[in-house]
Amino acid sequence: MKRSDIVVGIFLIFACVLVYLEAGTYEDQGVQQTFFGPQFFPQILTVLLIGCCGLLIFHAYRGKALRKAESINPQGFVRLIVSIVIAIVYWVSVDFFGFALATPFFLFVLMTQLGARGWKARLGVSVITPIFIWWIFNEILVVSLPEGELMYMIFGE
Amino acid sequence: MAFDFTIFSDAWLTILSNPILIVWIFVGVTSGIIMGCLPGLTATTGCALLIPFTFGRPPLEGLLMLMGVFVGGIYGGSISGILIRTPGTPSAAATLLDGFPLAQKGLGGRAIGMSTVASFVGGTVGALIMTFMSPTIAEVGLKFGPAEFFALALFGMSMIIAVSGVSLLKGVISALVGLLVTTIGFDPLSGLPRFTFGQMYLLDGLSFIPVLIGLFGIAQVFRNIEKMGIGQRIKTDLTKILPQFREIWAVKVTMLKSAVMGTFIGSIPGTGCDIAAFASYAEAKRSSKHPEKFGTGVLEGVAAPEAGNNAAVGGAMIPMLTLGIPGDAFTAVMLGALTIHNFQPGPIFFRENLDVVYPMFAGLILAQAVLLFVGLLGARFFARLVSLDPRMFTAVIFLLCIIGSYAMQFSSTDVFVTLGVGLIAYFMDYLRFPVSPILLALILGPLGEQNLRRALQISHGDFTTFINPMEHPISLAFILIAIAALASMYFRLRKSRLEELSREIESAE
Repeated sequence: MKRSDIVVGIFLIFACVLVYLEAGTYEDQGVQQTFFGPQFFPQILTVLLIGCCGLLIFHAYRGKALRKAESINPQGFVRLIVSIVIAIVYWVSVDFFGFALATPFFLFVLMTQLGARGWKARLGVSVITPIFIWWIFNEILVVSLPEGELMYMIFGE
Repeated sequence: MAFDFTIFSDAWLTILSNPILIVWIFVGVTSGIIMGCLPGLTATTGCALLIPFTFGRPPLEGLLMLMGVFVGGIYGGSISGILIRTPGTPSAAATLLDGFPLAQKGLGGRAIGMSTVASFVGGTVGALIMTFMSPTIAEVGLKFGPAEFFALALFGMSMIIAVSGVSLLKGVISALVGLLVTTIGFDPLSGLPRFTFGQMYLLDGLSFIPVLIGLFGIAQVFRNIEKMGIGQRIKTDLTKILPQFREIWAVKVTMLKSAVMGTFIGSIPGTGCDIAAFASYAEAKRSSKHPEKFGTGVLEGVAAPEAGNNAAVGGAMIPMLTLGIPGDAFTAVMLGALTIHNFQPGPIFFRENLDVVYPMFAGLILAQAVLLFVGLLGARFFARLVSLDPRMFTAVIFLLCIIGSYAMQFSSTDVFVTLGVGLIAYFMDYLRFPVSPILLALILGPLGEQNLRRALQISHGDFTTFINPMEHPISLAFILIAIAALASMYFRLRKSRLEELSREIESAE
């Protein structure tokens, strides 16, 4: 934990310096041009945060850092990254294919990737869940989900 | 603004004459139990996920549903705690101490039944105390000026920092980062856009719902995906769910005492249902005629924490509704739900929205009855959910998080913000930085900043105005309590840290 605390501390101090400088450019701007203007609160926060991060680094150097709660499981982490990539690809593809078409594929692929077995159960959940969500949002909540460009290309406006 | 019995009666009429409202409470309680009993999903996660389901509906429907989620979620956590020794929510951690041994003896059904009845009793007592106490506290809140509101925000932040993790310093850092995030977007006093870097998306600041779902929904999904495991289910008898009357009668004093204790502990900002549950369990054990039996599987050991943590639900609502200060992460989410429905939480909300406040009181009481009904009737079904394949439901929850973050503003950027915030929250958990202070900072930040600057402008830059006993005694009191809470937590954590370090040295040797 010692090294990670030091890295987090240095990163936050660096970010705070940038935020402090950026906030300084807001001085004498806006409606209320007083000392307690738009720069006041962010600058106070960054000063406090720099102090806390300094303390965090100091504690880490003196060996007072906390132990990690648990370590990251490497295999699980790879599974997580792949899942995030699947989610990003899914959401990008929703724009074209629409929620109704893209979601069953997303669920099926994600469940398979997470290790679920039994194609009937996977297929059932992949088909029923989007229909249920579509019904809830469209009919009960009156919130429309993306229909996708493909639908417009096929059925027109 | 004392308690008004006429408005309260009207509120009951409003709810009972509108079956849709009852259906929403039913949906909320049932969803809450399901979320609560699935290991890895807390009541807070459930609420964060279900907020998008309240868009487009009248505010009261949404708020009643979310309160139902809270009630159901806290109770639901006990089911997995009893059956697989994995509490569905942190507040059920005390319940498994006797619940799991009961299940091992083949009395899992009895334990779940007792947990349901105790949750009902505790929840009802908590809701009643909330109903009668809140108007008086809100009346005091109406006298607050900028200095008091700033001190209140400071007090709320300090309380959640004090109990949110194993390191006070890391809690403070989390809170400060959260406060900095709230400064993104238009400055409420000068109208100047801050830290937007020309991005239209950031003009109104980071959207609350995507950040909320990222912090509590996606982060949990990420942890589940990485771990992807579930506790070992044991075979237990689930045929006798309904506890016998003599069993309930035998623990009546324990339940009532725990309920009152739980309500008051829950009403202290920063404490929450888990502390209420452990305190109730400890008190029940201390005052029991047979304390040595606690931990071996006694119904009293299930009744006490369950009555305590469900009573804390009503308790936690008191500062949230009356002062706009959330008692824990869940009420912070509820506070967010109020703002999404265009309410300004705090004393003004109380004064100007009696048509919402009183039905919320009535709804919370009614939710307890729904909990008893659904809990006893659906216990076997909920018990089966505990053994659901996590690989399937994790994928579905992931999807709900994505759709929920999109549905607020129909913005794909919100989806990517959710994923990003979720990843940050996931790493924060490993680095032992608590995320609850960030959420509270997002809610209390604007309140704190505006009132800090207003108070300083009124006092011509005099920082001592907040601690001047003649001008602002309430502000001084809040600040002193906040300092005392942080100091006491510092010494407690220092002691436990020394113990941890000595264990590390021993293990290294």
